Amino acid sequence: MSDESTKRLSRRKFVALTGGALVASGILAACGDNTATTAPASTTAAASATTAAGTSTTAAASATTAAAGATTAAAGATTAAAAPAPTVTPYPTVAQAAGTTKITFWHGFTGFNAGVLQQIVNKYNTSQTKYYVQTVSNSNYDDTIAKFRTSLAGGDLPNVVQIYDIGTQAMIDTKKIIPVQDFITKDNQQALLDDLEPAVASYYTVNKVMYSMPLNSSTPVMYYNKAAFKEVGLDPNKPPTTFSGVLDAAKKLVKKDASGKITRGGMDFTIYGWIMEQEHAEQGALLAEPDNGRSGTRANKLVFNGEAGQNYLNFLKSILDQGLGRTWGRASGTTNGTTLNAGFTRGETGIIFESIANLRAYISGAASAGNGVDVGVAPLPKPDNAPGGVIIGGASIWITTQGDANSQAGAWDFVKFTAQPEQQAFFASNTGYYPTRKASYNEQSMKDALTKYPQFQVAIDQLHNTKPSPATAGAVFGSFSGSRQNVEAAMENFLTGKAASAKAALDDAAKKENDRLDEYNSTVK
Amino acid sequence: MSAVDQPESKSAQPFDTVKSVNTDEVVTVSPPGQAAPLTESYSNASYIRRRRWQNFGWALLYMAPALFLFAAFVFWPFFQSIYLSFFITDQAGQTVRFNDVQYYSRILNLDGSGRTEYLQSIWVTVLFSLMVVPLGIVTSVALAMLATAKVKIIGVFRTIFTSSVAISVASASVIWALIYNPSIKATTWLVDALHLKTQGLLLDASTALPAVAFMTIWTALGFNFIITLSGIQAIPQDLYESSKIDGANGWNSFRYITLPLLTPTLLFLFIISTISCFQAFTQFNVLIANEGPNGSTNVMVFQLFTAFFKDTRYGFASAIAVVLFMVVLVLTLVQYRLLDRKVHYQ
Repeated sequence: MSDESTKRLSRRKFVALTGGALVASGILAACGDNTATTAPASTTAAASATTAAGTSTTAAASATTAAAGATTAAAGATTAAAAPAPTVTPYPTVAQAAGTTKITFWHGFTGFNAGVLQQIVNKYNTSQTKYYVQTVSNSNYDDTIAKFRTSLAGGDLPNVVQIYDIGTQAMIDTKKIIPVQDFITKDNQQALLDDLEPAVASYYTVNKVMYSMPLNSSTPVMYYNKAAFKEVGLDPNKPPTTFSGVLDAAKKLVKKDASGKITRGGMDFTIYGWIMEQEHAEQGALLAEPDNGRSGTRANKLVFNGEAGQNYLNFLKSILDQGLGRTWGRASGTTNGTTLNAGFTRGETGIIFESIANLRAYISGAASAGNGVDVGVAPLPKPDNAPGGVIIGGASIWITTQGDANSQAGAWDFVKFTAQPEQQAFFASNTGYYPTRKASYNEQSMKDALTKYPQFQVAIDQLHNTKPSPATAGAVFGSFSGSRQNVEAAMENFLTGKAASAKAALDDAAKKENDRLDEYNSTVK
Repeated sequence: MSAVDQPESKSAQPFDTVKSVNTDEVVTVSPPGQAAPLTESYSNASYIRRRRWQNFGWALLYMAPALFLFAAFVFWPFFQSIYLSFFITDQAGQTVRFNDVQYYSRILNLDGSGRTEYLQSIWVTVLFSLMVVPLGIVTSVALAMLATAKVKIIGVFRTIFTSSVAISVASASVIWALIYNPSIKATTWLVDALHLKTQGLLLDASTALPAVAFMTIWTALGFNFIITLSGIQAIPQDLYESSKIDGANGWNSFRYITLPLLTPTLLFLFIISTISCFQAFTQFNVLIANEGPNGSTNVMVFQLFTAFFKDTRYGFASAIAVVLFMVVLVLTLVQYRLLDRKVHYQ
């Protein structure tokens, strides 16, 4: 009996042990993958491993791998859609000269934009002999702020970091940053501040303090296919400016096959929280109270469940209900954004709402698709009688408390360099973002870009026509970076019919997000 | 000697020899060759106790490197996250204040908020396992049976069936993201056949989870196949031969010989697959990258990832991790208790 039982036991043990070994090797494999794919991500993985638990250690480790994988996939798809965008190979760096102080700069660009940024950095590195800026790419904005946060505890921060618009309040709350306002005052650079694009400056100014230096700014616009407009008898030079106008145009633009399936959407869209925020600004509505968190009192209540949001949602719903277009799912989905972009450049959709930063990708994509799409740009449509106005999107660069006074001075020196009209014109004319400096429009490169891409002027006018107010300055609140996903989930719940009304869907999201905001606010002093 | 003591005295054996090589003190106690009579004469309770402690000490010494790694990378983070799950943290991960069990009651909807999304997330995870595990194992058994056929270039087929083991989940997900992508139009026929209102399989609440499950089965197939095939090959041929003499046909020999003797392998696969389903994240993040249409693919690890990286609620993420751990633990124990009775060890 005993013999058999030991045998049985050892079999069992064998099964259990092999299982354990395999799980362990899985963990190792995941970690290995991770370091192989992106070096920076491994820091996050390590940090997450310390905080997330037992079984979930595997999960967290594979999480980062996946995140890396996802971004590669997305990047790959973007380049595919953007077609013959100029060289995608990373721009070579220059070597560090002896005796220079190293300034570490984390950014969220990859591919083409990272190359343009690297050219500016190279120019800085060769233009002076005191500092050397080393760039570290972190795949995207989300990963960059996640990495920054997980590095807070360890204290190994970069000297300069690029953070997206919605990370503003969270960055202030880390208390590991120095407002650029301090350097501007010390360095007598009021002229620089005065020459910044007012809308851009106001976004990064919280309670009268300018915290970070805008690097790349954009706003959403309406893209439309002029050729399709002509084809169906719409005036390509008079694009619709209101929701009802868009619906009317979409009715004419939409094409269906014999089975009633849409082959060309009048207007196609992704479920995108950013556009939702913009439509609040268009209607002069706040996202957060009081005053979008800009007047010195921290935002303590989110109010995106009001009329403004419902108007936009009902507009999207009528596109689907009336069969005027399609949705490609949530914008955060891996391939959904590229599906929308590819559809537009191939002429499979008449109208989309997207960032002006995509302009050049659409023009080159349309050219390579060869379906005769003529890219038109119009201001972002709004409900009838809404005052109008858009919020600046994009990213800015922050100076951290890392390093000694010399490193911090070097960080400012570099940040100041990137804000020069020449650099901003170079960046804008090569990417499609706005220059952050008014003086940049006098630069030859910018003039050339505007001649070549006259559509860009529409976006510039839209920005200049925006009246400064708390609504158009955009909201700042600490839990913003996680909030879009809940807003998008709510939008989707309404569009799929899961939520009974736009109000019900948004109320639910507001409840969740207020809960999260309360918790966030309770953790900062 | 009692049956209980037996394994212990057995396991003591290797350490005896090691001791005699390594330390002077023990050499005098049990010189090689005379070990048996000496042990016999000293076999009183205190001696055995001393020997056990000594053995334990040695075992500990040899295990130290592994234990250190486990402690640093598994145990410490594990207990740390249990600790964190009772706290609210700031975005740097520092604990701000004690939160009691509020995160747990939120997850399990015991706080009266009516928020069922976390319970639903557990359900989605269970559903995902139910889709992946049985179908994955059945397919791998079927393929393994095919691969035992005595035909000429069977090696080629075995390689083909195994091939997906060489593809990481991340790369496989990228491939499938393209397959499912509506603008690629590879799955448009299925979207049309199912009369979906949405534009793609991953965009519809009813098809998103099955689509991810299908992709997961495909990815896991190579591994499952190898394990199953080796399990089948380990079954002694003479059993089949004697069954043939007794007149058993192909089905009978499969039903009464292969399947019963494969059960240990299948139990192993079953447990491993279930655990990996509960830990699945990569494919969800690459294919969908959010909670999915109407939260239909909001598995627990994705929920955890969101809470940690997007919301910077480290305490909450830890609480989800602990709940996930408990669910997997209970499930594995239940599977073991229920299924082990059905398993035939030869």
